[in-house]
Amino acid sequence: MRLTQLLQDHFGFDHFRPGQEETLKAVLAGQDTLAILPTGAGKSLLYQLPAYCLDGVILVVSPLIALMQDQADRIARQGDFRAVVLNSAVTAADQRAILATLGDYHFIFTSPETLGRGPIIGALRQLQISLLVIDEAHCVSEWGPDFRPEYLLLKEARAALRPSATLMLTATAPPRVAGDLLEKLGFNPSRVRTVRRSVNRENIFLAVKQVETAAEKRSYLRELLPRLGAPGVIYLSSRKEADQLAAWVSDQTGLRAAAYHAGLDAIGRYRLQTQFMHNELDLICATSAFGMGVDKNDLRYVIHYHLPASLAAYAQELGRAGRDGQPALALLLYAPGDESLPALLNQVELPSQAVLERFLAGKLPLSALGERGSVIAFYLRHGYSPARLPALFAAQGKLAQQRLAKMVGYVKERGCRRSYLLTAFGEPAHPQTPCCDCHQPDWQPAMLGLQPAAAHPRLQADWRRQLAALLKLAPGSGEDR
Amino acid sequence: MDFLLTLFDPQPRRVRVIEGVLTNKRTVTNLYWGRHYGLLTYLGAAHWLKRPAYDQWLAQQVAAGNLQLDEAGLFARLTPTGLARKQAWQEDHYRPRFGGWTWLVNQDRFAARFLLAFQLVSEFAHHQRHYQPLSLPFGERRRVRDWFLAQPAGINRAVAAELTPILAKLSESDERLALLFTYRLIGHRTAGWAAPQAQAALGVTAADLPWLERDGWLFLASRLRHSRGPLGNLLAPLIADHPVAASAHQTLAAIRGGRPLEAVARTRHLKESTVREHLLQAALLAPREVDLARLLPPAIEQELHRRYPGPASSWHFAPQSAAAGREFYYFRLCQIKEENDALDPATPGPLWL
Repeated sequence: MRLTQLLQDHFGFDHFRPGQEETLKAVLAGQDTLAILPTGAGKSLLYQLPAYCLDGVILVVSPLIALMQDQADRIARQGDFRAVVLNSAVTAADQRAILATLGDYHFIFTSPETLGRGPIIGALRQLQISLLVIDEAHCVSEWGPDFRPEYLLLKEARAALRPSATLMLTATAPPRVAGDLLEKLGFNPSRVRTVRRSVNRENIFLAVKQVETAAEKRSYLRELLPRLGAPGVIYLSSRKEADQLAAWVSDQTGLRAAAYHAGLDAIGRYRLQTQFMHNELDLICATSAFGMGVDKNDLRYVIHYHLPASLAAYAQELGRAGRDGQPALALLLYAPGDESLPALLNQVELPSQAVLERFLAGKLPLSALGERGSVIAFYLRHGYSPARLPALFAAQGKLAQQRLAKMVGYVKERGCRRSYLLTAFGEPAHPQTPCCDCHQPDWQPAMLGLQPAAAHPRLQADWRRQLAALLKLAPGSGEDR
Repeated sequence: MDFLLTLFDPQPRRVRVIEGVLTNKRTVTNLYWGRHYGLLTYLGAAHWLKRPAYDQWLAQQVAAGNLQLDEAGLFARLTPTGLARKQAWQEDHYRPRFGGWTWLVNQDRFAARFLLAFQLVSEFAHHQRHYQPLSLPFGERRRVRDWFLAQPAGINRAVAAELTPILAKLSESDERLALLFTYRLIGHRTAGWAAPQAQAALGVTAADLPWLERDGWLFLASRLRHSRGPLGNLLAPLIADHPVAASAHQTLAAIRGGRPLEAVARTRHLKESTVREHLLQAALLAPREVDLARLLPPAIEQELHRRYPGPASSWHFAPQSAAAGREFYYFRLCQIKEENDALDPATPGPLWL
């Protein structure tokens, strides 16, 4: 069956987005493929559609445990395939039950840590893995901002599972990171098909608002948000601030705002995602946990209340705006000193050599290694000696500071933000109008094609009517409508 | 967290007891003092509360002049400013009604199971197959799915018949509770109100919503425990049938059967101190089921009153023998007895079975 036909029949789209068809053809031909496609390019479709063509299991490895269930749920919503999640959040009893029936599932979502465990890999080896998907594949590269040492285990896991093909997905991988990740995963780069599309999103206007204080950020938002339309996202660096800003925005602007972060329970997350998808909320104040679980095309703006730690992270998050190709805005709010928080987070305080030795000898618990204990423990358990760690962490800390400096450079840029961004990703710049606030310092939402958010009438609530509607009964009669 | 101020009083209260009550730490000390302060309806009401956050809140209240801590930091009392704030809060905000049922369920688990079951029924009623079921742990999903598959075709009518009288009753007590409950349900084409929508529709603050919601779930659990409908069948295993934990309840049953404490400890393979603790918990949580006159010999009671003057809640335990554990048991029983005698039998709360 033609790919476009499958796309129409099962996903309701008439056309593939740039890079999708090329990637699908390579994967279905059994070729190992690295797809570097900007946020919003529709990466989940790249492993969902092959299920209609391939026999066997599609195994998806993802770093975000909190959102893995959302990915599986989306497949369940599609209604054609069964999907299951195996990660550290699954109880031992549930895990046993899942492993006993693993062959019943078409999609298995797991994390690199879980995949590294004996019983899991043993059970998976009994299955035919038609496609191994490594989501957020840049996490394997030590050059990238999101390096996750557990990803280094995937090389061995892949060798053990012998999938028919491997698909690596990422939104941001400059050439150096791309080469590094292929090597770390044990591929011969010349035998891997790389599909790369520009990070540039022409329909997104780029802007930075420099203010003097945090209070000024709020007063600016109070004036701006009602003029921006809906829906939109404001990214913040902490759960607490996301909660506070959502409450403040609701109170001050009358917009329907809610906070989304990893502190929400499964029901809260479900509610917000669904409400946001159905346009029952105007905006979400989120931490970086927001993203993968929500596949919303019509975000009109992405605002960063705090400074992201790298251009790669920023490009990924701003790319959630305007996936429908309509005008959208990426705005970054900056107050002097905003870089100090990410700079602080980049510093890793390593415990002393004596503590590291004692931990390795099993005489100290993980908690003795401090906040980044799990990362340190990973290295120690995988052959890095305590003596090697200081140099390793110093090098990573230096890279992180360089990435942050690049991000601050974007804020201070006077020439053209789009050129700055593209150059950082090794791409040529293309002049365009509208482009960014360097070219249009007096920009206004209306000039960008953004319309004010509509007012929402107050609902006349009636619990009997609502109950009847949910259960498809006539109110009070108990009969089918 | 401003509602926390309403749990304090101008009389000194133990800060760790209030914390323990909120987080459902059912030690005899927490239960005794929690009941003495009239706070057992908040048992487990903030199970998510972490020590650093609570301590930080205490420090903020002290700095703001609302609370005064004693030197050791064990007791806190409301200052006149704090009392005024407490009273203002109570006037402006929703006051929980059904906390007496707090022991019935683990609200999070109960609500999650209910919501998924209702969602399946709602989507089924609308003949919808393509939807995203609520994300629950694998075991819970399977349990609800198995329940759903065993239901007959008219399940939507059966669910409506089971819920409508409960919601009507809930609405009589406060219509907002029935509205919030119904409009927070997840079903066909709705994930329920988000917090801002609920606040706007009901005219309540973000701080009030969790209390309204808690009251809705507790009320539902109190009604479903006697229901023979499909929802009652699904949820009954999550509803406790006694405020006292299962093990303590077994101890209580054995004692009520007339067996001496030492024998109960032997046959149940428990330490005598554990049996005593079970009895004290039962005396606090289900006073009508414990015959204190039998557990507390009159001679010991008289001796305690001779040794400790004044009301029992003001006593300070001072061991007189090497068997301090046993001595304390009688000391606490005597305190509980005095408070139980003061309970008004005409207005029994659900906790006082």
